[in-house]
Amino acid sequence: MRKSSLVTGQQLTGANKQEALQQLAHAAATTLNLDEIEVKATLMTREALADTALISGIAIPHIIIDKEFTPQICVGLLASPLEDWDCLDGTKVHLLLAFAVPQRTLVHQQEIREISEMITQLADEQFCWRVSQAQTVAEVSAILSEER
Amino acid sequence: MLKDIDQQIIDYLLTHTEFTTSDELSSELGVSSKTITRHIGSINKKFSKQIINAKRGQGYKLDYATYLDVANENSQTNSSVKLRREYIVTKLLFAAPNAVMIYDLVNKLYISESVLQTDVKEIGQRLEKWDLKLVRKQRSLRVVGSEKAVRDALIEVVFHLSNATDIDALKNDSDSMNQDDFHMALSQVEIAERTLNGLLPYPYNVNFFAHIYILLSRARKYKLVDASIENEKDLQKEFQNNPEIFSVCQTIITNIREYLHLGENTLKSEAYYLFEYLVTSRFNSFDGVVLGDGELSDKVTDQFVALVSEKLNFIFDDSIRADIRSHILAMISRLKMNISLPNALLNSIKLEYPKVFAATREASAVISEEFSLPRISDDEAGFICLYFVKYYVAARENRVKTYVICTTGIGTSGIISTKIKNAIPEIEIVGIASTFDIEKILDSSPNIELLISTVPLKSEVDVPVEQVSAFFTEKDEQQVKKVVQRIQNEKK
Repeated sequence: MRKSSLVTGQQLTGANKQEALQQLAHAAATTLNLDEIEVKATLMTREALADTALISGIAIPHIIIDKEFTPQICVGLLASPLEDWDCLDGTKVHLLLAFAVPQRTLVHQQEIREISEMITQLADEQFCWRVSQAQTVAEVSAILSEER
Repeated sequence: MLKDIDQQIIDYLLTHTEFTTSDELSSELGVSSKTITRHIGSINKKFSKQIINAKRGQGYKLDYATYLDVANENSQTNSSVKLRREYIVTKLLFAAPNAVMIYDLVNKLYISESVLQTDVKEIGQRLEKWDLKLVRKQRSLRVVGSEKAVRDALIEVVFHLSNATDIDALKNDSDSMNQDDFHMALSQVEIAERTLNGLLPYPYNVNFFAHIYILLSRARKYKLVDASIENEKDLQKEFQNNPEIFSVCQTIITNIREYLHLGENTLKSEAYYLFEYLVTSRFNSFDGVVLGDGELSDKVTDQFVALVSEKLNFIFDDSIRADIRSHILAMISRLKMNISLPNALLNSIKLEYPKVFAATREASAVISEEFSLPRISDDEAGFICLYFVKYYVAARENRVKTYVICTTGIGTSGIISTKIKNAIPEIEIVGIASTFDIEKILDSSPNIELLISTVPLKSEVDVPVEQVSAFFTEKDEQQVKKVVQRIQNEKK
């Protein structure tokens, strides 16, 4: 399944938004062979622009870097919901679905399209709820990459 | 129009049974006695018998009996010329574009070639009215021009429809026509009136009848109208605006095909010409039979609008009610009289407007139950659907052109686009983009009216911008709806 190969991630232990994003940056930088500080910076910049928390404990942070790499969805599953990060429905964030894209997107049109398709499914509340129930990265990946 | 003096003299003498003196006449007509004398002389020479008698000392008197004889004689001569010419022009028109042999005409009518020459000249002049030309070869004559012009000419010539005629008078005159064709044409007119629950007002009913009658005789000889009318785009739109009328025309053509034993693909353009004719005939459903259902059709209309609005999540402009009412009335009368009208556009309606059709069909089911009407068929639902489509599409054309923005153009913007589309049909999402590309996009798409963004925009833009949350909540929806309303109002 092509799509699921674009989803990677791991369990995180952070207790607040900062820590969680720090850990996510580390994991993403390792997987994508990028500079961790750059990754963290871009995550924080985007959060500062506008909060990426949705509903059902899901947030979709962005990693946008001007380097060449294969686009990914980097999943971060938190051990417990973050006290200081609220969703629009009052729930606390416990699942990070960060998508990482190179700034120059022309080369990876296909992957970007597939990632976009996976993320867009989050428009549906039911779908959000299903994803939020996943316990492992594999489960998240499976749900995201389901054929519609 | 001033009467000529001859006629004035005759008219005056007609009303005076005793002798009238020359002086009296001259003072009445304002001319000299000499003029009177001269004119009376010429009158008496005009006719085969003398109609004005002179008595010395008493004056002039009209011989009434002689006058009547002579008056008839004159019009008979005139009318025989007229009749002959009508015969010739009818024959030429029915034969068009084929030629008629002069030999045939001359023999049948017992006239000489020179008389025919005069006739031909006059006929040629008459035909100019329809842009038709009379072409003479050595041995033949033929009419040249469009099929439509030929038929229009036939209608006037054969049915004398430039004078006052009504369809009953035609029935009396029907000896000169093919009886079967006559009844067939009449029955099709009746079908149109019955199915559309309306009456074709005079003279449209007679013209429509004549049109069909002529179509019957012409079609037998495969003289058909120009098929290019099928491509006229305006006409296609008109079908959708009057689907019942279009369907009736298709039904009539199908009947004619059967009657003439013609194949399925023949006569296609004929339906369009019939349609064109009916649509311009100021056909009025409210002249129809079941007038008592006016109130019922009001209620049914209101309910249709309410139900379809709900299902489409779309508020129809109030003017739709007035538009739909007469069609609903016609539908109700067809339902009650158990008249079925196959919808010639049904397949394309289902294909092109599945959502609106589904909504209309569901509403129909509810309505036939609520008002205890017979089942509303898909054909009927299809007709009603088109009226909703008209307003729905018009509104869609007035939508607010919007770009949805986020930092990447693939993340949050993708998520909220779907939601915006469902929640606010007045918005047309032209595209999704990232904040980096805004200026480029606005430059290349000058008709963008609104930007919806999940992040604050750095650059100043001319277009209104609404910032919303990553998930497009209820609050975001209300806020954007207000802005959309404002933009639409400003456009009007």
